[in-house]
Amino acid sequence: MTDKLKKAGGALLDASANMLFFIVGFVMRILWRGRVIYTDPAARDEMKRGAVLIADHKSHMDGFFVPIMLFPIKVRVLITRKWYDKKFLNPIFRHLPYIPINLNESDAAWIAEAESALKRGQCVMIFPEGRLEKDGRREPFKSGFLLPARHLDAPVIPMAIKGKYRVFKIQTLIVGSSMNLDLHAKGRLSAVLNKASEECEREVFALADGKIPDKPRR
Amino acid sequence: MNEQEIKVKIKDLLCDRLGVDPNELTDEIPLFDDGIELDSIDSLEIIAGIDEEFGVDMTGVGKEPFYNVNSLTAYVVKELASRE
Repeated sequence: MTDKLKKAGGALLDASANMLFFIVGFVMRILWRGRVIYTDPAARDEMKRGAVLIADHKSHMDGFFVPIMLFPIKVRVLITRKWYDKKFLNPIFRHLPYIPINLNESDAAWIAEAESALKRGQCVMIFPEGRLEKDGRREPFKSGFLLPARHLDAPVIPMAIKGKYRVFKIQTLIVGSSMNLDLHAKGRLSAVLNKASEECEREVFALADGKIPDKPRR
Repeated sequence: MNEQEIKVKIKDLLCDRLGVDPNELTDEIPLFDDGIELDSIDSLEIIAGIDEEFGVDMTGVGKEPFYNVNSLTAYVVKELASRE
């Protein structure tokens, strides 16, 4: 009986959190006039089958903005334990599509959770800088974000978030082409992933700097 | 699975998934720092591999079990034994 009550309570919280997310998303779309630009329409099809999405990270709002803008594509967002475990936020985060990661220790639990989502055809959003850019200073990418992509041969799609989340100003999500990475190259894993990570870093920052490749948009 | 079989599987994991040279990989050589010079990404892959191979979760475990092949093997053996 207790288990059934707990299960029902959990389902109710899930539904409430999703409803809250939906309402906040609706309001955000109106306030920020969000738009998505695909520089390569093929990326959208890949995202429908599951992909690792990477972007620059300038605001805490990014983690809300991307899944809302990409709806109905299902996007799970990697979030640090520092935020996920906050007393008043945890009950919400636990019932929303966020994957916690502890950056202070070798935490591999997120990898299994990310891979499980990818296998279900969902996308996993990762901010490979691992922290917010402060005063416009970019952080080098941490290559661990490539592990789920390597394990499952999942596409890695770069993105850039443009705008400052100002009310009634346009906030844009630019989606680039799937990266052509050789994650199974011969040699030491760290060297292979670091090289691929640098390529991803260049691509994401190029998108963020407005150097949009000359490809069809929609 | 006995200790020797576990050790072989761990060595295979390090060579196949991390690209470590099998000729370099002895039981005692340190895996990080002045030994094989693995880094934090490698440690994530080791944790993922050990979990996949033996069902042993090493998330949040201190540095000691990662010192060399012997210490990794000892950790896995101990964890598996504690389940029996």
